[in-house]
Amino acid sequence: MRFWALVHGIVFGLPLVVLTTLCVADAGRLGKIVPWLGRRRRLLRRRPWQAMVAFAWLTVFSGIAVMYARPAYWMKAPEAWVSWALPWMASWGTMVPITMTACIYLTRRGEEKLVMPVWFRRAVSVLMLVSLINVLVSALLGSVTAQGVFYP
Amino acid sequence: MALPFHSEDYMDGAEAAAVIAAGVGVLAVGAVVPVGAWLMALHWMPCAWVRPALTALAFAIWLGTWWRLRRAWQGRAYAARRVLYWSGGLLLLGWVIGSPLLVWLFPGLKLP
Repeated sequence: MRFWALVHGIVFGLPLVVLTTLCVADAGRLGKIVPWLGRRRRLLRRRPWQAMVAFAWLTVFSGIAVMYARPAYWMKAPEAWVSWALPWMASWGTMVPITMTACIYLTRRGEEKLVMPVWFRRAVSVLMLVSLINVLVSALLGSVTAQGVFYP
Repeated sequence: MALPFHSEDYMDGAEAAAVIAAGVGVLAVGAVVPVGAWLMALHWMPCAWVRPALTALAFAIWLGTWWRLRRAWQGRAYAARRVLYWSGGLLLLGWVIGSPLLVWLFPGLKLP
């Protein structure tokens, strides 16, 4: 199970970090929010925003499943986590799909506008920044935890 | 109140609902830590399901808030700056209470 937790971190966590970083990098140019990956992968090219929303939520739900399907691997005792970083990571990590979904929704609405108000750019930028910081801190805490879990 | 979409000072009700709901959702997810710690410390709730149950409730609160605000605010205009300040405040509060700050201050509590 520890191996699968590592695989989950690599398969889902790493692309989410890359996606969020690219989204933030593109936030200043609304309408071009689809990252460079979208131009190379058919699914992201055909259904860009659906794929991003699904990915943001799949990461969190699969993480919850990994953590709670086998709690014995993550907890030393019924009420003691292997690392303090784990619940912190889960707390801030679950905020990401909420902010990303709002971002993607606002971006899609923004694409329909002819003129982009300043507040619209600010709203999307702030939400993107929240997502990025949360993803990066969660990844950092997750890596700290992984060290404790995989090399006790 | 119908306003042109390019208005700098006002935002459409549907967009204001999405922005405010994001703040409420982050606050609800952040509240999982103090509420879970309280449930476990005072009511001996099992750690194994406190967090998933509270997280599911937080997601439901976010979706419910978005849905209700969208229905209530659709077609109306709201002061953009005020909406952004409120949402930002909720986001910041959610961040703070979502950290293990409470457990550092009260070491007797356990993290959910």
